Amino acid sequence: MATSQIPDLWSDQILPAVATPKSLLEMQAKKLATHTNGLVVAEVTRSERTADTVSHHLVVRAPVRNFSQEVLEIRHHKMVVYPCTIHAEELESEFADEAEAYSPQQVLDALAQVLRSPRIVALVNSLVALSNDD
Amino acid sequence: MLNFGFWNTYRKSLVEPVIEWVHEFELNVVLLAESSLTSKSLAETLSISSGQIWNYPKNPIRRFCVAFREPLLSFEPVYIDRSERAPLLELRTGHETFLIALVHLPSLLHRDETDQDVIISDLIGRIDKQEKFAGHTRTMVIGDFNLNPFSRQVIGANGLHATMSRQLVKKGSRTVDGNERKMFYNPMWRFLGDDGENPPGTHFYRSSTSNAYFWHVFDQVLLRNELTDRLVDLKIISKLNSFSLQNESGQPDYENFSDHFPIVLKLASPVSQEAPHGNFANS
Repeated sequence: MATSQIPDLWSDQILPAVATPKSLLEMQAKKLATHTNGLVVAEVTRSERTADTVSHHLVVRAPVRNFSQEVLEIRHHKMVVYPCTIHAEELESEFADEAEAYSPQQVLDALAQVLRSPRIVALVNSLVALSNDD
Repeated sequence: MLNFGFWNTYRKSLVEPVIEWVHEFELNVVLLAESSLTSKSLAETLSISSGQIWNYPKNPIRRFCVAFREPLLSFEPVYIDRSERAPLLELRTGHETFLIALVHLPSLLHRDETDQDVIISDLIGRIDKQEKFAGHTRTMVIGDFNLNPFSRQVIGANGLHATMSRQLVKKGSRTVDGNERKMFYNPMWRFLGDDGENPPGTHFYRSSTSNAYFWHVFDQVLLRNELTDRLVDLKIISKLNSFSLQNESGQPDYENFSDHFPIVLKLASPVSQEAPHGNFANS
């Protein structure tokens, strides 16, 4: 077999630029305020689960109501960000309350499932309504 | 006085017993877990039955049913955790504010200790943060812990760090491995086992395992040092005037009521405006 005929066996899913779970979450957090004219915003907070594990929490906030609610969590090894686990009520199964993601697209798919869920839509709309009442 | 009551009502509404419990112990704050009532319907029911104005939180809170009356001006969730099992609420009277962590930790029958560890670890971090923000430590943790007062997660410095002696928490904190850890006072230790007046716990579970406690004090209240001297009375309630909440064996009557007994707690007003008297009548 000629050298030029040796196939590239690497996956097409390996890319030169890969977003971290944290950056994907922060991007979604920034976008919420545009939907609510700033009445309800979101932020990402960080906590350390173990010496090796870090968590990023998506927190929805209604500043005028002095109210915050954590809606999902992404957990991964400090140095190895994929695979990560996404924890949210919408991702609960009989065996776990998490989804495992090996790529940015899988993180986005899981985030979409949570952020577009009736629970989150109702929560954000409730907070917009309450904030408008104040 | 501020009278608090907590009851895990076992996925039932228990309207009549709840009304009687609230009126009999002149509760100002009603906290229910596993209730099939909403906070709004509970407040409306209590208003109608008492002729007093009962309110409910406006900010969303899902896993608990909460109602309050004067002298409270407001009682609102300020932070809901992801599991919604340990929300933080801010309680305001005309004189002061309190931080209340309302908990219903997962049962070890269904989840492992790691789930409890994560919720408690997050809760402690949030309490510390909120106390710094609020500038006080009038903090109470109350609810169904699904843990006993002697459990690792309740006594441990990395957990709730709650001890049985109010004298021990006078300093407010202690240093463990070089880190300052705030403490709680856990008055529920007095309820472990028979004392003649109170039942031997708040929950009964018969297990076939070799280490079976049978009775558990899962329903607890923890107080920061700033509140310990204001604790006037604390009781596990097994009987109301019209209802016995226990079966023939003295265990919680889960068929007719709940698998947990309610607890009631009386806190004195600030700066010793009231003498520490006025205990709840024996039930």
